[in-house]
Amino acid sequence: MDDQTLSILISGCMANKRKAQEELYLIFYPGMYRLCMRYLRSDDLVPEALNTGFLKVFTKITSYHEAKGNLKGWISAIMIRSCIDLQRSELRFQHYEDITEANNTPHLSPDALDRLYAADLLAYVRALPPASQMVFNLYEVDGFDHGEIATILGISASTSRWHLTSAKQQLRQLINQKN
Amino acid sequence: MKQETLLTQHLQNKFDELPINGNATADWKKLEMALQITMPIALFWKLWLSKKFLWISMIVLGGSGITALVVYQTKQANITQTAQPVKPIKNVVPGLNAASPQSNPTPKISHSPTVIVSKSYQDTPAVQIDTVPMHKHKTSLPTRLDTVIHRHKTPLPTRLDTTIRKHKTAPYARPNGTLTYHN
Repeated sequence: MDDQTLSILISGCMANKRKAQEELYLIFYPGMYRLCMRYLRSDDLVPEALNTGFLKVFTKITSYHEAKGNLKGWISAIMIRSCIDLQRSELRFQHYEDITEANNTPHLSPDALDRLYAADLLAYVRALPPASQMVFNLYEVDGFDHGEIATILGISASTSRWHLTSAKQQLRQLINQKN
Repeated sequence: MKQETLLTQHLQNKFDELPINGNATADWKKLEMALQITMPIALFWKLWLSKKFLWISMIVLGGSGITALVVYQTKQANITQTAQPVKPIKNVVPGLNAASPQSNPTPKISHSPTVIVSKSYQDTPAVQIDTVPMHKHKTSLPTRLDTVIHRHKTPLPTRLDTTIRKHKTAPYARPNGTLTYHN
């Protein structure tokens, strides 16, 4: 999709045009559906998180400016927060002393990941504890740093590091068992 | 490329292969319904939070409050002006000493009229019914009298009621000055 079409759609959504909203929804639906699948522990919760997120997108789209980043990134951030809100009751963060990330983070090999099916990888990620699943997705897939994760989840950066290390250790074990 | 970035890229590519089992059209219909409800509320809320709307609503509320006050005060003034002087009871039972404008120019205002029963029905005043300002009670006097009678539920008020009903027409005066009642 080119930028001009996207700008027209954004303008339509800002004017509360239902057709523009529908088009934007259908464009971003597959990507956001997969994002919600990664963050949530069950497929049943995905439509709820997705529609809550899109509802926020359409009601807050007037506050969107291109200076804030591309539209996909902005919508993704809203979707992630929507998923976190939905799972918040399950999130139990344990607080640990600061650990050095570089030395202790286990290595996840891209080659090992290539040999996996996407559905298997999703199943492994979902098998992680909810807090570790969140941190892993935020850090490894969506590229947030520990400071940002700490702000989003309301935890300390060291706790975020601990959850990432824990998630990677568990994933490596699961992938090794599979291979 | 940095190891971390490479891993992120791999993971993203892998997750992009995930099959989705959602129905975009059906999900859009649900969202559309939610939007139809939410958007007007959101727009109203946005308008409400704007300073201009706040000022307008304050002016409107203040104006309507002042109007209501003026209307209320005008009504009160009209009530005071149209208030009639209290009329005494005209039909008097023999033995009843009803208040007359001459004997009692300023009527007593009482919410529970006192009923005084004399020993003899013929001579001394038996029942005195306080005159009641009509505008205060907003009910006609006979109705109120009736209410008072029913309230007591003793033989005497019933008898009083009968007596009063018997003499609904005004008595006529004989040449010698005595009053005669229709039976």
